[in-house]
Amino acid sequence: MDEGAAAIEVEGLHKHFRSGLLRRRVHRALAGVSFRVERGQVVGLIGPNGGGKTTTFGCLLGLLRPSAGRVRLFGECPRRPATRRCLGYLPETSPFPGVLTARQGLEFYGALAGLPRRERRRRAAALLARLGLAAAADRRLAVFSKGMLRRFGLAQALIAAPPLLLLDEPASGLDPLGARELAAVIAEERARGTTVLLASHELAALESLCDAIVLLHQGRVLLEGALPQLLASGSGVRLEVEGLDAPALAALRQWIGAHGGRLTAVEPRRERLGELFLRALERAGAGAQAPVLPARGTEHGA
Amino acid sequence: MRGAGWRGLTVVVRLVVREHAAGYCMLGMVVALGAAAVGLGTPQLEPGGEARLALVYGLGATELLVVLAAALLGALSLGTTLRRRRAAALLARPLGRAALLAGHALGALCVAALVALVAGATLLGALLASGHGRALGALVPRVEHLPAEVLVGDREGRPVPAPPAFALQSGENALWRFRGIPPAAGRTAAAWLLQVAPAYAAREGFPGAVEVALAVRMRPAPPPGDPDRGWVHSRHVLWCGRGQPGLLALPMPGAASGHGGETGAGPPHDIEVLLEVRTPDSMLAFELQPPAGQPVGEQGPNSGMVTVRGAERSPAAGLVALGVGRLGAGAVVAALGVLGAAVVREWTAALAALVLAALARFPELVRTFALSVQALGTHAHPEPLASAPAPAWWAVALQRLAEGVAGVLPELGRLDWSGAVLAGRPVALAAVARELAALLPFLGGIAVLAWGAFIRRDVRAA
Repeated sequence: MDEGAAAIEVEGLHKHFRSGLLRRRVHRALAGVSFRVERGQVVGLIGPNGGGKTTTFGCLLGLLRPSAGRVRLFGECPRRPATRRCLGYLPETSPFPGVLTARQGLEFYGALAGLPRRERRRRAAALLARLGLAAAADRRLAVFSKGMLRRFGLAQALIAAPPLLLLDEPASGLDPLGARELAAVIAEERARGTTVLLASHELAALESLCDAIVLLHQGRVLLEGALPQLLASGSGVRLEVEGLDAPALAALRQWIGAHGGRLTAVEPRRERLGELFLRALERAGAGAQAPVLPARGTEHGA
Repeated sequence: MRGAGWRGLTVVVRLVVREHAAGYCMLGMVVALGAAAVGLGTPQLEPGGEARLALVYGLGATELLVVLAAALLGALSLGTTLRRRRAAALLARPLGRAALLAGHALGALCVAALVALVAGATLLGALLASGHGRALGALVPRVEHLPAEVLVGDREGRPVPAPPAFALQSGENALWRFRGIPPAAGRTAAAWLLQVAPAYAAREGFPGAVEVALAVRMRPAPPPGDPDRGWVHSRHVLWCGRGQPGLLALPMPGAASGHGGETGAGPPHDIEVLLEVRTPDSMLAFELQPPAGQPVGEQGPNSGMVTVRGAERSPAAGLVALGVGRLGAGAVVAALGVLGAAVVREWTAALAALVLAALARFPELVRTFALSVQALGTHAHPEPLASAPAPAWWAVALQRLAEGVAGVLPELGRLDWSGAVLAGRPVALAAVARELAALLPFLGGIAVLAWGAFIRRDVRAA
């Protein structure tokens, strides 16, 4: 691992897929993608469907051979197995071996990462507890719900405490509680100095999590940069006020007008559905409990 | 096994075993029980014959199952891993692609070994539970002596003994090869006279029928400058005798005669005569021995040349040989399956692996095909013609292809020691090791091909 190198460097990345009987049909998935993720950054990879996010992930993981261009993780080529030692990956789907229990599954991925037996057991237990899977630790992954599989997927990505996390749609299938825990885990990882690249369509969540974003569209980088700069919109400010009656509100409007401003919208404050959901769960004490398991025998495509 | 890429090999092997062992072992148990039931339920004249038949069926079924499990698992486990995107989650770890391939092949082989073990234990358990435990100790052939003599016509048509070459085969068929039917000098046709006088001596009765077949394999004139080409194309069963104990007095004298025709353009060459003896009902295993001092592969006197005798049992070595032999075959097939799945869809790969395994198990099928294609391309008549036209190009191409396949594939039949084990003949483990070592170049070639195909392949992440 090159100590001075960026966590991720992508330069002029092209990828096309050939199909058809004579492989003459060419689909260009990436057309000159370049971006850079510094160590310790949390970066969101966003874009419409077919924009090239998953293909970029494939190249970053060494699963796809770039047609042209260069990909480096900490200065090394990801196609070398040793480079992937620094990597934790949460795939978009959850293709985990359904025959294993959650505990065995984490130990399996820990073993693949080269962790000693005692260490992987310790980390597996800690991660199962951290992600609310402790009660389901000895249940087969085949009977896990989609949300639980996402939690497991996050746990397996973290098992080797890698300095770089690639998370593909991490919040997909998670309930608001899970999404909040995911955000907390990412914040923890950021505090630990981990670099995180996450692809997601949950823009609101990304806004609060990411330092920067890369917007891909039709295989090209449409937009790239730090979020505060990208989201800055002139001199406008947003106020949220509680406890004002109508005369006070009218006075406020007058004051704003007197100072050259213009009140553009006045809406009664409403609780967001997500907040309501979480508060209800917290009232019921479910926040500390394990997720509810589906009935036995309900198999999912793990 | 150095380097990060290989560290996860055993983890992948364990996963494949864990995912598939239970189902396949259950299948092995069911098949072994079925074979035991059929064998034990078929009345036999020989004391302990039912147990013997159950073993014959059971061992055959086990071999089939091991090869089947290795082919299906080798192809399906890797194919499913790729199709369900699981490979992306695995290869995102410091796991090399070669280790992923090898892990699936070894995993398939381990499951095949477990299947063999479970099926064998089930078979023996069924025999013991059905009260045939004692019969297992009496599984030795009863035939004591089987001399035979083949006469061929000399140039004047007088019968003379044909010198046999002791290319012996043990198993359920006893086969002798004879060479040296003298060609008619200066003619393109050769006439011959064959006589066979087999005689059998059996102690304690004979378990079923004996079938004796005499065949002639002719060799048309080879192309100029290439004496090894243009081999045999026809096979005529001239005589077939069949005797049932109780109906036929033993020893049974017999005789057969026939005459041949043209051998093709140019001077006729060696005409090979095959004498085949088998016991189709009881599938009794022969142990063939040349007369004292007669090395295998050399010609010798044509009289009393083979003795089929009772043999001593050596179950432990036999079982080891059986197991190792089946695993050797399983290794080849698992590797074929994984190679296929690295390149094509898993079911296509599994089917291809099975076909290749069948060809490797019975290479004589390929050779026979090659010969029949040549005959088809030359003429449709079984008798060779004096002025045979050159074979059609497609026949030559097909023949070369078949010969190529037969030449490249290892002979998996050489790994089957069930005949020897059933005959109670000790199997030298050195011979087993030699046969396994002969597979290594083939396995190495497959591994290189698979790696070459898979290393460049894109693995879809989603």
